[in-house]
This record gives sequence, C-alpha cells and structure tokens, in this order.
Amino acid sequence: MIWDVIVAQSPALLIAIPLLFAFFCPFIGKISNMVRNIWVAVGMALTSAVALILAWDVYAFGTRIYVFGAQAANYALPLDSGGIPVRIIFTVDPMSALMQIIAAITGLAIILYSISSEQRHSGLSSFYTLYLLMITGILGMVSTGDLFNFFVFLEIVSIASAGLIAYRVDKGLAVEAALKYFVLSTIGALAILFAIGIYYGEYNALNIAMIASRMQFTVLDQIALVLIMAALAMKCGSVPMHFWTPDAYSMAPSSITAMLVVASQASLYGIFRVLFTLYNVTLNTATVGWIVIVLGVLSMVIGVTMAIPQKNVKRLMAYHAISQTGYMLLGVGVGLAVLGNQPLMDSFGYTAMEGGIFHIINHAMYKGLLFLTAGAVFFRIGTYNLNKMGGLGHSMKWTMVFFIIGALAIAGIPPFNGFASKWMIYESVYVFNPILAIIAMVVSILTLASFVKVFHSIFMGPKLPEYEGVKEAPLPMLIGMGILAVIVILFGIFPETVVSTLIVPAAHALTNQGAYIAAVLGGV
Amino acid sequence: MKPTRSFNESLWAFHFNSGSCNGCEIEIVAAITPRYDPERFGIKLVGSPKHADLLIITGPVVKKMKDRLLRVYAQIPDPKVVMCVGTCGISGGVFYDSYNLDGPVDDVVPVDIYVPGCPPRPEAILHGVVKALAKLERIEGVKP
Amino acid sequence: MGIFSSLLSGSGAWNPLVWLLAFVVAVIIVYLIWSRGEKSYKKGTEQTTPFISGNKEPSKDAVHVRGGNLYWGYTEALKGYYERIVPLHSGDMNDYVLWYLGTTALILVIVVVLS
Repeated sequence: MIWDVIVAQSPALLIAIPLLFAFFCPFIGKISNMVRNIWVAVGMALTSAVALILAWDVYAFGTRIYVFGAQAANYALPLDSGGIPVRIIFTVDPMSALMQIIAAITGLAIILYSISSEQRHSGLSSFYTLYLLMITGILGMVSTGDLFNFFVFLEIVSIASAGLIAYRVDKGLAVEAALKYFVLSTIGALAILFAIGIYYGEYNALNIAMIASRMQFTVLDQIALVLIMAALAMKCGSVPMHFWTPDAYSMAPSSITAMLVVASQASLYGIFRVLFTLYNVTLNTATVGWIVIVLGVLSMVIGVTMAIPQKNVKRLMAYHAISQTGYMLLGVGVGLAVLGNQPLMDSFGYTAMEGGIFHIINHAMYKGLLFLTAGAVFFRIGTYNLNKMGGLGHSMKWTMVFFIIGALAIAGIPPFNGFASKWMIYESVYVFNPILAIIAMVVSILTLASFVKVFHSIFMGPKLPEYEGVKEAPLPMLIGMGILAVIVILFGIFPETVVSTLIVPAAHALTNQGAYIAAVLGGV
Repeated sequence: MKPTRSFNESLWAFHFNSGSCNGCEIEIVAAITPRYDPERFGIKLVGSPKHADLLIITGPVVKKMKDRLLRVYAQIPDPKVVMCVGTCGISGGVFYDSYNLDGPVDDVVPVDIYVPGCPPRPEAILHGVVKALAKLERIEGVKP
Repeated sequence: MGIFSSLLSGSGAWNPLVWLLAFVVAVIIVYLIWSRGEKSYKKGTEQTTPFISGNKEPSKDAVHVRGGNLYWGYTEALKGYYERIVPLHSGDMNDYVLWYLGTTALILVIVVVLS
C-alpha cells in the first residue's frame, strides 16, 4: 500500500524531498555539524532511493507521466482544456530514468565524499543547501515534460552551481570562475527563454509533447532550434563555447566538480530531448546531424590536445570532460544524421545512439571518480600543481588504485566501461564515415597519453621529502570513490546486460517521438 | 650463471680506460680490425658492463678512476675474467710510483691475465683474450 | 547465460569475459617466460644499479621528472597548433561571450539561411 503510494507519487517526491531537506538544512545546521551531516546524508539517500524506484518503475512498465495539481497523477487533459495539457507535467521515459539513475548514484557517492573532504571548511550549511538545490535542479531538468519548467530547473542548477563553484573563495579566483560560468549561463538561458517564447507564440503550448505533435519546421522553429541547441551546447561544454569549463571545474571543490559533470550531462540530455522528441524527423536531419557531429569532433580533438600541456591537474581533467562530451555528441549526432532512414538506423544508427548514451553514464562514473581522486590528493597535500607532486603512490595506495581504474576507463582500455561505449561508437561511426572513427581512436590514444602523464607526476617516483607525513585519504572519501569504481568495473565486465536493460530502451524512447506524445496526450 | 658450451663461441668484452695514454686503446682497436678479426672467435666489444664476460683494463689506475673501476667491476655479472693490457696496468709502466696513481690494477680488482707491452702488439692482445677464454673454462670446468 | 553474453554492434561483437580469459592466459605465459630468467645475480649490490659510465646513481628524487616537463617533445612538435589555440583560452569573459554568440550566429546561418 505505502509502496504503491510512493511509486505513484515518485516524480513529485523526486523534487520535493531534496527541496525540503535543502530548505531545512540551515536551521538544522545551527544545532551541530554532526546532525546536519546526518540530515544531508539521509536526504540524499532518500532522494537516490526515490530516483532508483522511479527508474525501476519506468523501465519495467513504460513511460510515466505525473501531472502536478490534478485530480490524479495521469490526468493530463482536463475536460475543458480543448485538448491541451495545461498543467506542468513530468514525463519520465527511459532516457529520463537513465539520467535520474546517474544523478542518484553520483549524488550519493559525492555526499559521502563531501562529508569528509569539506570538514575543514566553514559555511557548510550553505554548501549543503546549495548542493541539495543543485540535485533538485538536475533531477527536475531530466524529468520534466514542459519546456518552461525545464528552463526554471536549468536556472536553479546554474545558480546553485555558481554558488558552489565560488564556495572556496580562494583569494577571488573561485569567485571569478563562478562569475564566468554564471554570466555565460545567464546569456544562454536568455536565448533558451527566447526560443521557448517563440514556441509558445507559434503553438500556444509549453508542453513538449504538445509542441511535438503540432511541430512544422517553419523558419521560426529553425531559429528556436538553433538558439536552444547552441545555448545547451554551451552549457554542456562543447567546443567552441567551452572556455568556461576549465575555469569552473578547476576552481570548484572536487566533489562539486564531479556533480558539475552530471549537470553538464543534464544539459546534453536537454539537447537530445529537443532534437529527438520535439523535432524528430521534421528537422533537416542531415544538416543538424552534421552540425552535432562537427561540434562533437571539435570538442574531442581540441579538448584532448589542450589537456596534454596542462600543469593543473583539475584543468587537465576538465579538458578531458570536454573531450568525452564530444564522444557523446558524435555518437548521438550520427544517430540523428540517419534518423529518418530506418534501414540505416537498424544497421548502425541505433548502435551509435546507444554508444553515445552509454557513454553518458560511463563518463559520469569514471570522470566523477577521477575528480574525486584529484580531490583526495589535494586534501592531503594542498596543491593541484603537477610540477610539485610526486611519489604519492607509496603512501596513498587506494587513491592510486582508484585513479588507475578511472584513467584506464577514460582512455578506453578493456575491460572497463569506457571501452564498451567507445567500441560501440567506433563500430557504428566507422560505417557512417571512417574518418570520424579514426579521429575518435586517435583522441582515445591521446587521452591515454595524458593520463599516463598525470599518473607518473602524482603517484610514481621516489617519496619526496616534502610529502613525508602524507597518509591515505580518509575512509568516507575512499567509500565514495569505491562506489564509483565498483560501477566502472561492473559496467565494464557485463556491458551487454547494462546495454540491453538500461540503454536500448533509452535510445528507442528517445527516437520514438510517437510513443512520447501518446504517453502524455493519450493516443492523440 | 653457469657457463655453457656457447662460451666457446662467444666472449663479450668491455673495455675500461683507467687513465691510459691511449696507445693501448689504438692497439686494441687495431686488434678488432678485419686483419686480425677476433669476431671469428665470437669476441666482440659491448657498450655496457652488464653484457660483458671479460673486462679489459688499460692504463694505470689514476685516483679519479679507482671508484669508477670498482663500480664497473661490480656491475659485471659472474662469471667474469679481468685482463690488464699494457705495462701501465701491471706495474705503473712509465708512471711507476707516481703521485697521481692509486696503484697498479691488481691493487684495485683481481686480475687474471696480464698482457705486457707499451703498447702490446695486437697479436699479443688476442693471445691474452684466448688465454682468458681458456682460464674461464678452467675456472668453471666447462669441457672445451 | 544472459549476463555473460557478448555486446553486439551491427558489425562486431565484444565480450569482456573472453578478453579477461585471454589476459589471464597471457599473464601465465609471461610468468613462465619470466621464471626462466637469470636468478643468480646478487640483489642489492651494484649489479642492480644502472650503468652510468661508472658514476654513482643519483638519488631518485633528484632525477624525478616533474609533470609539466613530460611530453615536451610532443608540445614542441605541435608548436604551430598550440601557439594558435592556447591564447584563445584567454580568461577574458568578453571573448567567451563573443565565441558563444558567434557560434550561435554561424549555426543560425547554416540551418536557417542555407537550407
């Protein structure tokens, strides 16, 4: 009974629980630090539980909708509305469920990690409040079926992230990075708002399914598409609008950087939602597909080549995040370019999309792991500069093992999960255009080169005299990293299970516009 | 390692100059030329003591080279033979009892073969190498 | 069993368990070859130090190559590329906004005007 209630109300609980826990966090923080840490950990655990329950339900029983403020959760079309869903509707299809799983797991690992890594700082009530708000925003962004609601949650994520990036003031450097992130996000959000206004003016609706069912690809729609796509591409860090990414990722505390990766991927989800569900075959798939592919290839190449000469370990990892986002854009772009053509889709289009989507969850796991190891090293020795580090493998053995797992995964070395998704992308993109696949493989090799450099600089070499008393990272941080590392290994050893259970339904849900519209509008 | 029959067909030599006037070096180089051709016996010069069986030392051991000679000798794996070429290594030669020397070679490392001459002829050097090979076999008891 | 089946793409198959098996076999072969190596050297003496023309091996922290100096050859070789790309990451926010607006304009032209 209570289980049914929870499952039925889970989309609402998904937003309500972290919001409630965020609201009360400053008050609880006044009692003591320990109580606040427990409060936050419980809040995040409940949110993750609800997200996983909802995801299981969606994968088992199909797309779920939840109408806010209606008589029943699936009462989308009121009798006097003229066939237009007027309330805010959360449409959770398997792609949304996948993103919720990513946010849930990463959020939980990061809370465990933050409780230990931030213990020396003050102002932690604000930190955890903003963090829970960011979780709310990300979960809302990926679950919503309403465009303006998407914009609202996007703004929540941007504001909360900007506050978190500036958290360690760091003599003003972190605040400057947060300012750059914030100004760019605001300008992008303005463009998105303008595009939403165009849709509203044209189609009298804000619901994604409604607009999708009425979509003709007029000039105004084209302008709106470009505005949304460019803004969200900037938010997810694709070249040539990626300049904020190294600054923001390197200045934020490491646990927040791992969550910023998930936030960027939620923006990537936004691009896919707009391209595949809102427009689908009405748009010019060859042109727009190739634009996405070119963005992807540029991101891959420029991301990795800029990463190799870096001396700050977090800036290096941020450039790699840009590069891996390029892989996702490449895979899904190839799927978009052959979208209308069913034989080609069956032959390699679905595989390309599955590779790109699988790469999203893989990337969140191993990139989060890498940023958390960088944070663990910083926690012990206080510097991010590669020129000053050395010989930490003697004392920080577990951190070294987790770093090796993350580095081999990101370089696409079997048997880790990075190889499985990259292999799918290589195989399918090669059929589409061999040069793109070759560029992707070369980028993969350069990624390995870059992480060998980082591994040697941090962990190899003799024990340096200035790091004499360095101990291993504290246990909560190791547990947080361990959760992500275990998933990296498991997804690598059983890729077929993961792909067929999680990824294939997501890819098919993304391309199947008709099913999405039918779920909301009930067969219209 | 235990020497095997392949030692009959190969003996790798490392040359070490402990302060010589270069005359013995020129004769050693002459001994390697095709006219005398030690490579038909499998004898060749190698660049690292870790590949060598035979250590050829020329020159008296000047003070600065003693430490390095000891280190190179220690880096040669067993079994090894040491050959001293030229009278400088045997007794100091023209530098007998000089202020700059740390003794003739056998004060620093144990020597098996001495090749006298200033400089010795290439035939004498080759004769010394062949005797070194025979001594190696006798030390370890390998049937020729 | 379902959980151990291969990942299929349109043109190939990947099974990490087969890979792990091959890896284990390769490790065993490598171990067998390694165990036939020379065991009779003296550990801890000069026989394990590198040959640097007879000089003493310097202490390890004096020769540790720091992170920023690795891959010098690569960055030197691609200097033409890096000299153009690195200054673009100027840190100046005005440039960042201009890049964003410029890219939006370019994509607008490609999608709206040219199609």
